Amino acid sequence: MVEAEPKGRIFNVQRFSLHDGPGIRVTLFFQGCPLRCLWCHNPEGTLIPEGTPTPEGTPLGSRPLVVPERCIGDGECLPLCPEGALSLEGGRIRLDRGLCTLCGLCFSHCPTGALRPSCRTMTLAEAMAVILKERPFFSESGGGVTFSGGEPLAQPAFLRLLLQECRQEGISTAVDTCGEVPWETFESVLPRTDLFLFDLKALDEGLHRRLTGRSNGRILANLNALVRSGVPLRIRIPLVGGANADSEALEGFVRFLSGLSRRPPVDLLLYHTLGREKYPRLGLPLPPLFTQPSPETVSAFRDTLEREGFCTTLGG
Amino acid sequence: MNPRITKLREKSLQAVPSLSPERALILTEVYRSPGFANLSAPRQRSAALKAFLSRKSLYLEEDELIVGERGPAPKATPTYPEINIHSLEDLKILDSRPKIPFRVSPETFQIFQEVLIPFWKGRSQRERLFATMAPEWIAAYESGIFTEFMEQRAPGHTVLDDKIYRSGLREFQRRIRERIEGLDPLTDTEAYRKREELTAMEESAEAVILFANRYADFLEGEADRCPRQERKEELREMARICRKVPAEAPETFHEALQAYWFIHLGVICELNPWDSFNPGRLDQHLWPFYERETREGTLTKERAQELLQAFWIRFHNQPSPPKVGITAEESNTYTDFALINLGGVKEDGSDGVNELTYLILDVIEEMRLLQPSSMIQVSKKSPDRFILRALEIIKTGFGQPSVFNTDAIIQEMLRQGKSLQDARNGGASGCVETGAFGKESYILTGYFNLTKILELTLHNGRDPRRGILLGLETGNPADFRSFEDLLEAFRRQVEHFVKIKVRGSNTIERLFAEYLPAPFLSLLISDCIEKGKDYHDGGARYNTSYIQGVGLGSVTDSLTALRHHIYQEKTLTWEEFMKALDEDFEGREPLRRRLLNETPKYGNDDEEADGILREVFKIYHDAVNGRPNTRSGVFRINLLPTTCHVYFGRVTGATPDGRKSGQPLSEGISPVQGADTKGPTGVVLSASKIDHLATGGTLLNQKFTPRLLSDREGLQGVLHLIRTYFRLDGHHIQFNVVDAATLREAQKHPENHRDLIVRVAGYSDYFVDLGEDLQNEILHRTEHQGF
Repeated sequence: MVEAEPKGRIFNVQRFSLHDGPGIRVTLFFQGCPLRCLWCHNPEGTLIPEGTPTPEGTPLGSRPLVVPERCIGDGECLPLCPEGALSLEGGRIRLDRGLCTLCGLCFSHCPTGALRPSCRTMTLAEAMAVILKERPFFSESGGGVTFSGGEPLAQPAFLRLLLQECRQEGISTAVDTCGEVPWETFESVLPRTDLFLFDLKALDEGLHRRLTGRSNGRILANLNALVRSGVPLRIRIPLVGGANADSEALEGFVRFLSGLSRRPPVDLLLYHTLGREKYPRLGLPLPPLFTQPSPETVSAFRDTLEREGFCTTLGG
Repeated sequence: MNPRITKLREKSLQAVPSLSPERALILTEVYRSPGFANLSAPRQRSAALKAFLSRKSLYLEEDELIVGERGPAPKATPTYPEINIHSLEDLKILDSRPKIPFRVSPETFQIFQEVLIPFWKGRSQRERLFATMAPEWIAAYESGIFTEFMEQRAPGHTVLDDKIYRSGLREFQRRIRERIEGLDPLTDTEAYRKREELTAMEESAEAVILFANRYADFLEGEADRCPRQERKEELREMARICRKVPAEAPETFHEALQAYWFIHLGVICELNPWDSFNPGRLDQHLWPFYERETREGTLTKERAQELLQAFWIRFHNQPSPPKVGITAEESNTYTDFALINLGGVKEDGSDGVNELTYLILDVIEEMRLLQPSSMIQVSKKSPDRFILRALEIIKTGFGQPSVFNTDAIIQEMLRQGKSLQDARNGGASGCVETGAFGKESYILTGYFNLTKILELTLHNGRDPRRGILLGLETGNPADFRSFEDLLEAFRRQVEHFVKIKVRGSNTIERLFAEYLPAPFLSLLISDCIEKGKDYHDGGARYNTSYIQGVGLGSVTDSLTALRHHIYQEKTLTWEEFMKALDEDFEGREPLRRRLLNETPKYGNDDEEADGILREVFKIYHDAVNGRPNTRSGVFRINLLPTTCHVYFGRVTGATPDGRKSGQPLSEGISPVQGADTKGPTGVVLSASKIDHLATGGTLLNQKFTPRLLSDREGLQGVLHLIRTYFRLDGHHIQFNVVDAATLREAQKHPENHRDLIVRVAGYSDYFVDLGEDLQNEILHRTEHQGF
């Protein structure tokens, strides 16, 4: 029996990526994040890859991304849907999500990007080709590839292969994770990863559950273990006003971080709303609106962390 | 910026460009004077320059530090009737056109009507030129296949090296006389021609010295009348300087700037050469003066900065001479393309960045003027600090400085046979053109519409717009059995029109050599004195002629679309495709979207499109490169558009890449507007697939939102993007940093955005001065946003 070519579910490739590790990077976004953060700006990345077998080349299991503003209303996609889920409304495409079975047959026509898959299947060779094309920028800038998400560790087999190939090519790698996976998964990629970016959302267990839908028990244990392992690591904290940036939550971060056996750099990421427009395009209800914490709050928090011996950066 | 400079800058910004008849009137008198017709052409030219500089009115702005105006007042712009005599209709257009107007007073209008037109009609180079061109040249020119740079302006495109800072004009004259004395018609059959040329050089140097002395007298008079003691002394010092330079070599920083400026005025009063004139490697030339004087305590950094700022205003007061017709279309701007070079390497190959480099960058940032334009030369030896400092200015969004690859420029010149030393002392001028500064005449002859030629190829040599047979009958595309057949037909058409263009240019070169030599410009450029030959006649050490290809991205994407859909995927027939093009995609929007969105495009590191880019580049390069010009040099290519991609787009019908009829073509080597969807790394990788080193300059435009450059990571990212592009031999990259919302707002309310400067193509311009097409095109260029 011939082994099937390894494939991954990638919902975005970001070239000239400057904030996901050092230098100029290419970032591959893996589908499959187990958390449901209320401020999530990559909702297409939270969808678990479907287990359904897929006919060759058809991006099955992908939630259609619908951008009516791009539609030119020629209607040629309508008959492609076996369920009759597509219609025109005011000359623009409309998808009845209740009827959609995610079969992906409608994507073949649209020449405008009004109706397209929100995620696609990539083979190992395809993913490596994308990464290798960017190589001239890596050596100049000290950059490399970042596997982000969604959650790259949700597709550990594919990730391991990519990490291995990159190591062979001499390309520096980073894995950006939410941490909510079994420790064994970390262990399996640990020797092949040059840098971890570890997201930390809240320290209070109850708060973490409210904000992300999951407990942070395993996440914190994994982070502690990762710190002990000695692997290069950066901790990334999204600062979301109204969610995890009040004084109590911030103190929680400081308490936890200062208890770590090392002082990895900490990247603070300010809440933004750039991902909101994706929700209606994916047929998802709009998430609640949060705010950016005040500059005073942020700089006080940074000062505290710096006093505790952490190097910090601030981004958005 | 101190109050003096603030005031001078404000005045310069407020001055309204107008047309001045002064030069034309003086020239009319000279040309009419007894005995003038009997003079040889070079002597006529030096006599004309001398008459103009000894009689033109002098102007001094209050509290000015560097003196000299080309016209009677700031932005009062002379005309050059010996090149082009404006018709009354031209004057009306110049006075009233909404973009790039020149005010024409009723008196000026009357002077043209009564004096200038009656005398110059039938004597101008422009009339001579069109009367000399072959019918096939005229037909191609009128159809928008190519433009002609020399139909309203003289050959120029040249830059000065450091020779005027080492010797005064008196020393030049001494060498010229020595050369004349050595001439003997017995042994040198060219002796007469050489003597006339050299004598004209000597006389034109005298004219410029005389002009400087007139300023010295004038300033002394002003000093006597000045009630403020401090200014009185300053005026006396300025008078002393004008008495000394450019006759003698400058010895101070102030003298050096004033010396250059008189030389600059001499060149732009003699004729109206393209790209005016240019000090070139300013930080290198001024460094010895700056270094010595700051060390000895006779010059402070602040004073040096003030003098440089005053120098900047000199350039800003001299708009590009008024252009009309197609020349106005191809280069519609007040900018006259002086491009200050900073950094690079020294003659010995070591890093050229010095303290003065950074000071000049400060001046660029503070002055924020269209002219002079500025660029940084980045070599592999340049420190990151230099690039990051330039990026700090670039990110403020006025398109300066642009960024050039010194190592590529040097290799381009070595390939052209220049010496290593001359190559290292050179740089880029105009928009992006490589040159051996002070030693080369590198003439841009006109833009070449590669996309239009594909349109002709698809119509068996006919221009569908005018309904005439223009090119070769290379066959009906439906009969092309393979994509290679199509490419071969395109190649033959390109070669056909290149030959027409070169035939024309080799004639036009002679018209300038015979009728309008430039003895003053000649004495400044090595080795015109040694050869006793004019700049227009091959006197320079190196002599290159360029044809500037336009629409590389558009023609690449069009050919890619044809191959992809007709020959590879076979989803379209030639018949369907041609019908869609001829009907401008009317009723075929889905097809057009498929062409736009589902077809490989140049600019995304997609080999399917980039492979065709290489083919197109090779076709164009091979058609042009190496053809001899009349100045013992050869033709070469460069790839830049100024504003010509808009004009060329207007005369080109719908194209297979999904572009609708009349829309702008791609500019420089940039991808088609909006076709690059994979970000700047994709653009850089694609653009580096052409052989930049085989050109004399390529232009790559990138647009970033201000957010991208707002933090350290962003600046570092762009720094590394530049370094990578240059390691891949890229020639030039420039950045527009402005958000679309600001541009839209400026379109709606131009009155509130008079100072908004954007990078157009190799130069910057006031956004509100751009035509609507060009404004929209700039809006349309992809905004790259790093996440």
